[in-house]
Amino acid sequence: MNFFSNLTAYQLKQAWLSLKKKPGFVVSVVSTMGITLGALLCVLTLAYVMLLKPLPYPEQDKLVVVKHEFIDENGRVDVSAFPYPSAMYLYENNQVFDLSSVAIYQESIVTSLNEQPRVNTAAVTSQWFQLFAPSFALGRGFEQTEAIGLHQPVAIISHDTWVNHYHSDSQILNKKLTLSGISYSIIGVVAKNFIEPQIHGVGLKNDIWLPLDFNSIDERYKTNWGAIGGNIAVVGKLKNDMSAAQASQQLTLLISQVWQENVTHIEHFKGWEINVSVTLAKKIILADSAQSLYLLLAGVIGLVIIATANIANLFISQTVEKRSHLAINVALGAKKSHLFNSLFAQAFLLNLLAILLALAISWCGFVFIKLHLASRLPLSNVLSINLFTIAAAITLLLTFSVLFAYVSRKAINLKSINTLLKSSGKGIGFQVTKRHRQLLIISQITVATVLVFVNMSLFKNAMGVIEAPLGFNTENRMYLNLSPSSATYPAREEISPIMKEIKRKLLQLPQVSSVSQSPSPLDIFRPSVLKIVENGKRLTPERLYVDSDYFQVIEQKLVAGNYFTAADIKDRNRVIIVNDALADRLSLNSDVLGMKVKLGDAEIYKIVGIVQGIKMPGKSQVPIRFYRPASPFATRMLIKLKEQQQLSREQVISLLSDVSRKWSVFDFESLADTRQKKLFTHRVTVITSAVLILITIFLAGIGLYGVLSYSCQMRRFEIGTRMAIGAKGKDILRLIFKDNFSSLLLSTIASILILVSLYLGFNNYLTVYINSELFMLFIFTLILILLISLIACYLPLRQYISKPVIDSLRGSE
Amino acid sequence: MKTTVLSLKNISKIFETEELETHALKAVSLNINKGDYISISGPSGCGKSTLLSIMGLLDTATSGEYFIEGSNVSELSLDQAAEVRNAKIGFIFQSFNLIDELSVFDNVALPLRYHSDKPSSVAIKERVTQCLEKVGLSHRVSHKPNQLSGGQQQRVAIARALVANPAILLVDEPTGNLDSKSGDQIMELLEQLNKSGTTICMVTHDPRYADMATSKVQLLDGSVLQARLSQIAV
Repeated sequence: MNFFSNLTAYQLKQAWLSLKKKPGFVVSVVSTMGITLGALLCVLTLAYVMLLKPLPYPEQDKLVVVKHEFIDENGRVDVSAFPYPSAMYLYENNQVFDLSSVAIYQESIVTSLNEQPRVNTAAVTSQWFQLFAPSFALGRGFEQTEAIGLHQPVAIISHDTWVNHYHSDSQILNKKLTLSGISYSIIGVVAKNFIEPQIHGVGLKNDIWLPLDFNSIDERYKTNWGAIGGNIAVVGKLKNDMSAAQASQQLTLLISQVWQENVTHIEHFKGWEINVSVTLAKKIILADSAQSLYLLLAGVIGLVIIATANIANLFISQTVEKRSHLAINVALGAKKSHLFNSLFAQAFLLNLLAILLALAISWCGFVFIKLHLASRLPLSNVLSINLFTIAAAITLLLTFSVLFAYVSRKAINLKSINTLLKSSGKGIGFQVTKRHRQLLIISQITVATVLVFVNMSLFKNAMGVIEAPLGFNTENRMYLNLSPSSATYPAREEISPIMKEIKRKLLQLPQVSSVSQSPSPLDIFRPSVLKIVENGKRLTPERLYVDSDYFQVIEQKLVAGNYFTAADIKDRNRVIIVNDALADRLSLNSDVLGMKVKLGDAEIYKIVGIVQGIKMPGKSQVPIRFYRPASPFATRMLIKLKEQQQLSREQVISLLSDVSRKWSVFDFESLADTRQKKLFTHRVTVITSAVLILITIFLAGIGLYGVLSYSCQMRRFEIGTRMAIGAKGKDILRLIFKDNFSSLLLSTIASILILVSLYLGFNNYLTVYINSELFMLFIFTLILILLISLIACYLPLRQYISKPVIDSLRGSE
Repeated sequence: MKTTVLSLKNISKIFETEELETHALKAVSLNINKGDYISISGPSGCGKSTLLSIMGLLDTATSGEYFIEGSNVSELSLDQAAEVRNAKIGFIFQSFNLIDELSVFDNVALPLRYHSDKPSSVAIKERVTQCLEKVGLSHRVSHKPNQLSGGQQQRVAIARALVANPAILLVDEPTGNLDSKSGDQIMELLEQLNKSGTTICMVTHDPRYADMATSKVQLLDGSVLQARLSQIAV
């Protein structure tokens, strides 16, 4: 690296002194490169962490996750999940792993704490702690003493739980915590630096680990090979000579036969098979987020291209400005290498400042991602400025310093530079060819058009989703979900009067307007089979059990027929209400109202009402749904508050403890908050795309201004001459715009070609976004870019057309 | 009685910087009549080019009044000044200031394209050919300026200055970038133009060429040192 060894303190000092005189240039370069390289470093580090960096577990390349797939009679994967007996059989009998563990993920309430927090728990076998080898802040992991069947009521808590709920109590070991009526002794606190493998789902952090014996899977499911009764994961470490594919084959063989034997009595599974797939843990943890990462990388590289073109151009202009200074150096004996070194020193200093800013920006980016995108980007919890970031920063620093020094150096024609000393500086010896300028303009406009258009489409789409009415009211509506405090579920006849009493007490609160004993419309509901009696047509709509107040409480409109009556609920009448989307699917030129249908229990129900369908936040389609009268022992409630009123979780817990100690608050959340949470991805898209649009417009504006400003500078005498012979300001503006029109046209064609190839390349992902409005959006983008180009033409011209003509002609003689 | 083409009354020009004030022109008054051929000369820095810029509406005076063909042009907007320049003034620069990308024809035609009357292309062609014939270059219409010699380029510039039929030609050191032979030819051409009725005001520091004018104005330190009495309005 000749250029680097030649970089002396003297050159750096000279470069620094010369830069001090040009604060505008310094600010433009440092801010533009700082922002874009900051974004690039952030995304590159993310890519490194997600794609290249090994997982922080012993022998991580052998860690695998086992999936249990039900293959239906048509050979399609129906569902991928473990029945409890399958998981246990595989765990106990496999020959492919050195170590394996079963983990059952569930949610619970810590009733021993005053605030009764809802926590994520994982019931695991002791090997889990050997596989992932966490270190401990206090205590230990599960060992043989916690093996299956020993029923040791012990718990290990996460570092966050220890800090947030136990105030980092150093005496926590052997203290008790109560979950679902069982008291556990705390034996360990996981260390802060432990990175939990998020196998269960991106961003889902576990709070408490329990021995597998304490899983909450219903006894009925523990022996049922055909039912999925919990969220079960099986992880293992492959034996040395075992590949994932071999393991998959062996495990499929191991499970298939036993499974078949155990489901022969179930008609539903006739012709079905089981496939066991074994996938590297890293792949499972990454899920499908690599694609979002590549998109992000493409966007940021687009920005870097614009920024690089801009700054290269600024460097060229800057060199042209310094032409006489450089000419004197040449006259005094400076060689090519001297000139390059001096230009490199300047570029190096500026890029050094930019890279420092970039590192600061990337650090802010990491904090933002950890705070807000942890649930979308796997492994983002390990993001930090690491050796990779620093190495990338140094590479970028050197690359861009050499690049900018090179383009500056290319702007000097050494052969004719000496004539500068004799002439009065018409720019002889320094020029960027017209072709070069056009190329800069075309690349700027093309990249800007594509980026602005793509981001505007994303922005518009996400805004449309956020603003789309759901068809019901979420404001001032709270959702309360109760769960029993004890390990065993109370008998139905016990629940009903308690729920009645809770509802009565809630209605007595001054801030409550009405209460419905129904689930939140924002929950996820399982599809259920519905069969039309008349023609046997089958549909699988979502099913909700609601009471007679439900539709009024959430203000979901009735289209035809009636809501449920109090008698329908009390007598559990065989009536249902369907939404309009389902009604459309049911009607065969006949009235839906009064239609007879069969539900899963083979009883006949009558449709008594049609309500307007509601959308889920973030979804464009109305799901088909039907509603059945709720049972009196339903434990979920919707609460409508009066205007400007609030109801806290503590108030509800206190009300609940007055009625019964046997129940705890599992969920208590406002529907508006739930809606906002569900729209999180779209909000992130709106913000990211808006920021990208603004940065792109800003960078492209600056870039075009730079190129055109340089071009005007080069044409100063021509402009002056034209004005001297009578051209007005608008004539000159028209001239410059006309001269650049061909570049604008070429850019438009190039951006259309890029967009079309993007569409052809990513057809599958983009079809959602393609509609007739896109054409208008593209026209709007072109107008916007045209406007920016016009402004970029006008601004550099202003100094020539708004001042006496002689200023432009000065120095031409 | 001769018609006054251009009249300057007490024109001053002060250049201000943070440190100092330079009085480039001090109360200069001057009348130029139709058919005059005036040379303005003086040592370097005496204000000749500044005076020519103000006369050509390329710059504005700090104080004083300026009339072209009787109209006061001291307080024109930039666009109004452009219109007056286009219609009344023809410039000839030391470095020719031709536009390299345009052919000889288009360079000469340029003032007509900025003309408020928007002449037809037939009229433009006729007028451009006429002017190029005057300067003896009608056979070079489609050449680019850089394909011509310095003397030929200056002829093109003269044709361009004449094309809009201006009231006066303002000529700034027309021979400064030429060899002596070409310089002499250009001066001959200017003389011929004057004889055929063109009003010329020329800035030069070459006493030999200054003498070719019918009247001489000498500037020193921004003031008129010597001029024909009838031209000085005291």
